[in-house]
Amino acid sequence: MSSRRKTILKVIILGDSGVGKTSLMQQFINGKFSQQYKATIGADFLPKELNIDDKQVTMQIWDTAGQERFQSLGVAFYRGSDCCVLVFDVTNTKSFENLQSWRDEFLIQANIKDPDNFPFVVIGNKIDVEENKRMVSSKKAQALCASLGNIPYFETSAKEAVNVEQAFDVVARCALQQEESLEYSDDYTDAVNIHVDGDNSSCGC
Amino acid sequence: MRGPPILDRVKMTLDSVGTISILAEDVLCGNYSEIHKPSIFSRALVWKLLAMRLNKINKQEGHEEMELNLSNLAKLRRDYDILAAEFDVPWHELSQQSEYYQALTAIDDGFDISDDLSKKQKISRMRVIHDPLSTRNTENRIASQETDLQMLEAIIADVDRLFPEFPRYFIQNLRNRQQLTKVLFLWCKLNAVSYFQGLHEICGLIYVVFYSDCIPRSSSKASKLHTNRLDKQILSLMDLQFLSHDTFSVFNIMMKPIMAKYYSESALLQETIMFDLKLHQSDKFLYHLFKNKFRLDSRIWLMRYFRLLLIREIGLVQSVRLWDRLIAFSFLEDPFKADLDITLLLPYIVLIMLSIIKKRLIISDYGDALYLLLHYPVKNDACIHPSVICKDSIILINNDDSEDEDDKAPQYVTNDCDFTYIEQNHQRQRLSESSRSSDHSGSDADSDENVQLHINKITRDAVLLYRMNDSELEADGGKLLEAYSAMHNQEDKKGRISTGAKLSSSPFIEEMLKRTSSWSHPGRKNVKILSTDFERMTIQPEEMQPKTNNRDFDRTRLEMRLQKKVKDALKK
Repeated sequence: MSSRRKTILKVIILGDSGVGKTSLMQQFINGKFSQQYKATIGADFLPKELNIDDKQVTMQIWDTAGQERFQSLGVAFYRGSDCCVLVFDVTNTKSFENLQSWRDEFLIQANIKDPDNFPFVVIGNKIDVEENKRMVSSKKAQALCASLGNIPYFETSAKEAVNVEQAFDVVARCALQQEESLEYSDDYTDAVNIHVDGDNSSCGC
Repeated sequence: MRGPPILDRVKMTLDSVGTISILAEDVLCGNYSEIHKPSIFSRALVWKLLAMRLNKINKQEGHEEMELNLSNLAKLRRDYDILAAEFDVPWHELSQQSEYYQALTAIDDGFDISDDLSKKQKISRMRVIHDPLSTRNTENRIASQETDLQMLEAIIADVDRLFPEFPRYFIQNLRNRQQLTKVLFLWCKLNAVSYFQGLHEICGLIYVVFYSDCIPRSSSKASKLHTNRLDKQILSLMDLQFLSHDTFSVFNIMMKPIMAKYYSESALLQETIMFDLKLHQSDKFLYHLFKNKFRLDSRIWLMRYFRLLLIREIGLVQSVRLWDRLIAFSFLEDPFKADLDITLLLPYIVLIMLSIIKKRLIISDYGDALYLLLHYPVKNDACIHPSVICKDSIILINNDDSEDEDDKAPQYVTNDCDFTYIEQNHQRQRLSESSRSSDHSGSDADSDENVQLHINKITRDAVLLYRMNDSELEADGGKLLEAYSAMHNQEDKKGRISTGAKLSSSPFIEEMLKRTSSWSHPGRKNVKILSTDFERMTIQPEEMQPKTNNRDFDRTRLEMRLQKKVKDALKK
């Protein structure tokens, strides 16, 4: 079905200011890191062509401003998202504590029909820092992700390109699964399988 | 800037102009610029005089010598000192590891931190959560809980990464970062608003301009020669000691209209609607393309265009040149107003910028178009000025391909150096390139396809558009914009709009182009409420309507290729 049609996956990145959202996106898309990225104003938008299990898809990544709490505009930014990436900085406790409010805000604004099964991915960034600067432990982060419905959790360093590729691979697969579940049936509410292994087809039809 | 020192530049400038209004007119039309008057131009002088409404008193008016009326300057500087004494920046509450951390007792001349005991009491008094009467607390849950410390940290986070393309201004200069942070903090306190990302960039731009033309106290002390009144006034006007004072004052004067128009969501929506109306009047094709093909909420991209007054879009070097004109225009519109509304021309400049990339937009899909808008393909600063920055200089130096030369051409520039026609597959190529491998240095690399904006000409045309009423905007405004896009819109009796290349030498080709772009799909009439058949508007219907069947798909591709060939032929 619709194999000729271009599949577009919309992915949105949320998280506090300065946690490294832009860096992650740049590392993933261009494979480069810069010490200073300008503060994102509103949102930025970058597309990337991907091949997931021989399926050609275009991932449209929306990098949002960390300070911004969009009100009416949130709808314009979030609507139609296939996956939401929540980013925090492992050296910044507050950015971790705010994850849940980012998630809630997204679910409200994006008008997700089935919030329990919408795919999120959590990324703890900046693991390249010295151990003594780290404020959020893996355990703590994993516990939160488990409590929020087994959200996949990755620890990355956008600076040293650690785990970025892997994290976005899962993001892409989650997004594709979400997109396909919507495509086949509007009110199809199968649980999104977060443990992606190969061509996991969650479609029951 | 190489050439005479600032003091002499300012003197020569003041000598050469009769009144401040004449100076503003010269700035607006480009006669007083780093290109036309490289040896006397001082940007900071223009901004300070016009924004703070400082007057020049000429000899003949009962004064023996020409001098400046700096009473407003003195008042504004006093106000800043009072403000700084009133609101202490909580540097001492920062983490001690922070390079900004200062203990309460620290004495630093530059920061007005006094070790006076009475000050300490003030600090404890000031440390409160934001004003409960502020309207923002219902609108913005997080901001309402923001403490002074959090606001300071938010400002520092942004100032630390300000203008990475010119690291010497802030990234490598802690003192400048401290000063700018303080200015922003105090501004937010004075206006009882929380800090918004973006303010740092506007304020930073003003700071950089003043920083570049300032005169250090030491050098003025050393030269005791300056005994005459005007010299002393100029030294005071450009005094490094008052860099933050003047940055604050001018920022405060400029920010009020910007805040009111763009920094709340409801105001932004209103400005966006007004912009959309102007777009509808001046270029119906683009309007329908955005609204009905892309279904694009203009706020998504206009937000950054408006909030940063195009700094991100056109780069720092072009921005300061644009701001020269925006400031001069606003001054001339109302020389006696306290605020300076530098946003007056902004929507019209954006209209022109859209026209410049119209050829690319019409062959885009939603994703391509949004990418293009959020990464406006302008030649970046480095391309324009290969080696711009020299010590104690401002960021702009002579433009080798002086735009002002081009400006002398009476007709609108429609040649290829204004824009480059982009091939139909360009976007896709670029995407696959950037995703293919990591050695690709990013999307900014393809500078050949980037446009060079001719600030002088664009401002002049924006002023023309600004002066037009609605019906004029539709007729004359549309024509003016067609000169930028080199595309002509046509509307037939059924209200269908098509667009095509503007000029052609052969009637045959013209006919061909017309047919290509206005080709209509028989099956899709009367679908939309609006009286236009949108498939006809676009060159690639297959990208617009997924339901298009195979035969039509091929036919369009064929016509696309034909059109491209014709266009290539026309170029030669």
